[in-house]
Amino acid sequence: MTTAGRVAGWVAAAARLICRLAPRSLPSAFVPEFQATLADACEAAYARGGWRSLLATGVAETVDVARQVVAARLGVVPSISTVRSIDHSRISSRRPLMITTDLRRAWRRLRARPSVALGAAAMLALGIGLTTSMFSLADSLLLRPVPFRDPGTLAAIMMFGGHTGRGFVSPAVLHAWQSSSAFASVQGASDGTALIDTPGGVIGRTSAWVTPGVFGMLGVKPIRGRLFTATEGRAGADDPVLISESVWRGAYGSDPGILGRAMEIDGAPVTIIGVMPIDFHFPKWDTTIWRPIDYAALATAQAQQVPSPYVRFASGTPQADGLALLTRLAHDADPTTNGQEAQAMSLAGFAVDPYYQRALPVLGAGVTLVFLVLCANASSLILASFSARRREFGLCAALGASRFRVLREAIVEAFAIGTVGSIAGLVLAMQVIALAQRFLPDAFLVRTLNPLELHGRAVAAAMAAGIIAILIAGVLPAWRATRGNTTDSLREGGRSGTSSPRARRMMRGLIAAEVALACMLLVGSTLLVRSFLKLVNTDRGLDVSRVISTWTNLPVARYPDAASRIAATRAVQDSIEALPGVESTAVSFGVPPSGGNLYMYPDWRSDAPGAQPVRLDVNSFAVTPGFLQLYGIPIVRGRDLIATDSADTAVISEHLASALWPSGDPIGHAFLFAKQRYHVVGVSREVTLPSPDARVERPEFYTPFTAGGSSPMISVRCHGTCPDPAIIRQRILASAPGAVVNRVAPAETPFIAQVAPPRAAASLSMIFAGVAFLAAAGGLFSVLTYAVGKREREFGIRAALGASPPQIRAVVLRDGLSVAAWGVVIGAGLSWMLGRALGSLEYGASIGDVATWAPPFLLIALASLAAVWRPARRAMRVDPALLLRGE
Amino acid sequence: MTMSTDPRSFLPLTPLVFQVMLTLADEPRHGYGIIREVEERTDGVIRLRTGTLYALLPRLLDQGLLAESAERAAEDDDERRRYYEITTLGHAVLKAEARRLELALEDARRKHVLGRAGKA
Repeated sequence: MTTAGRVAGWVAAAARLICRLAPRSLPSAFVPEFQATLADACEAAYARGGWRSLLATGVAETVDVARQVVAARLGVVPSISTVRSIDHSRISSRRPLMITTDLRRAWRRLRARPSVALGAAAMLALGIGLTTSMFSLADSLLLRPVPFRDPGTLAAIMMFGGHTGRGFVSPAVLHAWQSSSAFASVQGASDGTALIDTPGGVIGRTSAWVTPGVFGMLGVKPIRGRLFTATEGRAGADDPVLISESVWRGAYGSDPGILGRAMEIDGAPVTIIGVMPIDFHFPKWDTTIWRPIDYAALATAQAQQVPSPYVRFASGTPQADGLALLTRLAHDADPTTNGQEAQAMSLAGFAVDPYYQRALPVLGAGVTLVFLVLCANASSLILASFSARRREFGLCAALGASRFRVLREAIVEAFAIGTVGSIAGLVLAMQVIALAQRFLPDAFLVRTLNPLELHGRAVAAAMAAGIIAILIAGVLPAWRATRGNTTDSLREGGRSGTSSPRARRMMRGLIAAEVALACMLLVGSTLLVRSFLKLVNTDRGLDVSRVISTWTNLPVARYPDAASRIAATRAVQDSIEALPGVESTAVSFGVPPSGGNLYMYPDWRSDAPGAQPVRLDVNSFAVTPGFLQLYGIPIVRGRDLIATDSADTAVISEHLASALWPSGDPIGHAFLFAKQRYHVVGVSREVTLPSPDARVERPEFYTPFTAGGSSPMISVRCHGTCPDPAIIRQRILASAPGAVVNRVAPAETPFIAQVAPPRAAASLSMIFAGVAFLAAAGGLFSVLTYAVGKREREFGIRAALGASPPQIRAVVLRDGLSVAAWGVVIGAGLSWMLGRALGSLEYGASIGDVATWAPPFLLIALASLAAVWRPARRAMRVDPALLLRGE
Repeated sequence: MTMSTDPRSFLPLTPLVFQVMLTLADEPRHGYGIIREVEERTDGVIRLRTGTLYALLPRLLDQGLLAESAERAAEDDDERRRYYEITTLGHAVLKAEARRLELALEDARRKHVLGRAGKA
């Protein structure tokens, strides 16, 4: 069979399938001939213009067949004549499906009065968009496990020692682990950045050195080309590289000849051997370049690389046993790991922040409430509009339309509104996700290796809920209008001048519910915003502006003794101090707020006679003189550490002082812990890391830094603008060759990171509350306006009977405000319960404070008054003479 | 199916139906023959798709405007192909449509829609 014949076969197969769905579109007797003709057309297209022409013809033919089938499905018969009135055949042919007529009518009605339909669809769209995007983000960022095969047995390994944990091991340890048969797989990776030379210019991307087996361990496959072979990565081998689909599409324009193409990374030539799927992220969320490495034989360019280990435990082996084995093997292979223990971490980095864990359900509930408010609003709009048409529905029923027919029209119309709203909501959600992909701070993204994408089930659930809400609101009035005696509904909906009491009750109920939910969201949001402001404005006890902290590792292989380490540290300090703008430097182990050793020691004891042991978690910092001054930590009593102090001298923070000497002066006294005795020479101001989590708050104590440690942290205070961290990093590497620079960052970073989650929660809750508030106020306004319109006749009669305009205004005001008042009362109860639930997210603010609940309630009261005022004035201006003349 | 015998009751024909019938006015053709002839004659302006053609053919056969032909091209070896020819009624309808178009064209000429010279 020719190529064209084969394509024709595919098209014909598709056509056959569609024909089966709609046999009327093509009588079976014509099918073989139809296929032959299709094959002829495809072959001719191929002969004319090759593959491209064939493809275009194939697509066009398929679309055409589909069109014919859809037309046949809808009962449309292909016409011979262009003027239908004289096409006799149509009279006896099947009538078009009723649904198209219904749709046409619905369209005509909606077009005639688009405001209600558009309003309801917009509310629904906003609700669906917000809900689905928030749930999708939370799912990608926090809930879903890493997107690799059998994630339960995968782990990143950290070695935890007495003081700190390290996410990397020496090549010897990695080799020992890889040689053990007790694990399904052990692989190493180190991340970095790469400057790649692409056709469009040089671009920077996050890259990673990985051991060749890493992809097999994770269970991922390239979309093009191949993975690394076991021997690749050895020094001297040709340098192959894997790139992400995003680089392939973005920088190489989806070049089909990408495999085997040469590129340059940091000036070195490499060859592209494969393309990884766009949603594959490892070891970091933005890694897009992978190069093979053999840690046992590092090439010169890789000399700085140390492996972060990743393990897939053998299935059936308890993880604890696996970790114990890892620890033992590490101790045997590398004596410097003695005292350290292997621990399993999530591949996506550190475990989910506890604040997020607590905030997530609250925010989830918040966005659900917003969704409910918007649905209630859309429903009340539809209910008002459809109630106004009760007379029309009743009239249809009276003229002989079956109840099913009337209901069907209402359903089609409500469904059309719901569908438009849902589609718009989907588009909105996609936009929000796209924005998040572009603008979400790295602090969020490092927590996930999952792609940020819309969550299908959330979309489906929100759409279904929205459409059902609209359907119920649309169908109820039609249902009731066609029930029982139609003359009643004609009378009720027409001349009586008011809408039916039941419809009114239902609308008021919906609005009161909206107000209540808006109240609750406003109170919750105020609480979170106030907590956030307190967090930011709390005195931290130190001044970290214009301070940069660095953390360097001096490898034992290169710096074997204390003397060499002291010299290296001194050299680094000197070179940084020589930089313009640098005021002073200090060396320490541990930098505030919580970078020091953490002692969770149960037995602190002062030397006061009869003192009881105290249980405390304390941060300790080993510091050089001038450290406290550099960080702006004031000495409250006594003195700062000086160069001549012995190792057992200590400066303690206020909290530790008051815990150990509740009523005395600690200066000149000593305290004991871990069988060591420290002499107190000074008391410093307490350093606080503001957090709703009280456990983060720990007292500090400072002891003299004994030079010669392998992990010096150098803090830098600057006059004005600090030097670029990259320059500082450069200076460190130049003065201490072979050093590993773990971090160079502003000292403010941990404080900023600490308030990032509360800020996110506060801003999200504000958006939710704002949307709910506007929706509730808008709902109150539109429903009251509608109600006043319906009651104009009543107001006219009242006026004719002698009611003064202010009296009429009072009627409407009372009506509207009573609905709002009910909402507020229910909202107050709900808010109180919410306040209890938010307890763990609060910081310096609670539901009991006037400042928490007063502003939201005041806002709601003012908004209700504003929403009610205009309808009330309109009622007041009703001219009875005009109205009665119109009868 | 009701069949009308008054050619004028079919007018005006849709452009596609007119083209299909015009194609068969001189000789019988099979499905792809019709498609190709229409495309060539109209210089590709009207491109008939297979699905559309086979939606129309059963209707035209039903209405008695076309019929299956016994003639086949000598070199055609595909058994699945059927040939179609125009019926007497079909011819009358085609003629009536052509006449209608001619009248419309004359009207247009009279009103100088095609320019003052009118002959161009």
